[in-house]
Amino acid sequence: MALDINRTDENRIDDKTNASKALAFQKALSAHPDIGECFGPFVNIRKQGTNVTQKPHMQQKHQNHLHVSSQR
Amino acid sequence: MRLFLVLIIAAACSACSSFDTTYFLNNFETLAETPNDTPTLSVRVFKIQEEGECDNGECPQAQLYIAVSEFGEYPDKNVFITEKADAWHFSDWISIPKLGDEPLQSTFRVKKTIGNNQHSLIVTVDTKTVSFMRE
Repeated sequence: MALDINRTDENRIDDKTNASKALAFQKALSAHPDIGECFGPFVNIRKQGTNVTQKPHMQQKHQNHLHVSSQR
Repeated sequence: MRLFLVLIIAAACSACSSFDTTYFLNNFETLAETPNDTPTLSVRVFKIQEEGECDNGECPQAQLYIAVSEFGEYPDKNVFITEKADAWHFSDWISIPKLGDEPLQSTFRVKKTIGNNQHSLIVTVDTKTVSFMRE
């Protein structure tokens, strides 16, 4: 399962004044054990079990939204 | 079992400027593919045989196309193409990665026939490399 999120607290993800909230939200999502992918302006990782792979090239495709998927 | 490292006989498809999409899509045969119940590494093994018929003891040869991909959005992926042989056969999967396995690679066995010689090869593949070991 995957979903895209383009607003947090009614503010766009690419709104610079919303950066700290978007970052905190991405950090919380990426720390969850069931997350498979967490892409966005700040965190870009893919997880297989507990193995985490950095995907920095995903950032340019996720400037205005977050992409989140589960491992199954 | 003795294993011999065989020269890497495959090339990434990005190096194949003469790839014929029309011929491939009209003639490929799927020999094997990993199940999709564990989203770790997808591997598909296709076979393509040259056009034509046997003439003067020479017959159309075949190649394997090994397509490898991670799952998810914008997955790392690659296609490896083997050398030509008289025949290629898929034998069995040896290992398919489970969630959390590292490195993320699959291993399977194929048989390659050239003339009267048949070799069993163990293929190990991930999204960046492929290697062939002769059994």
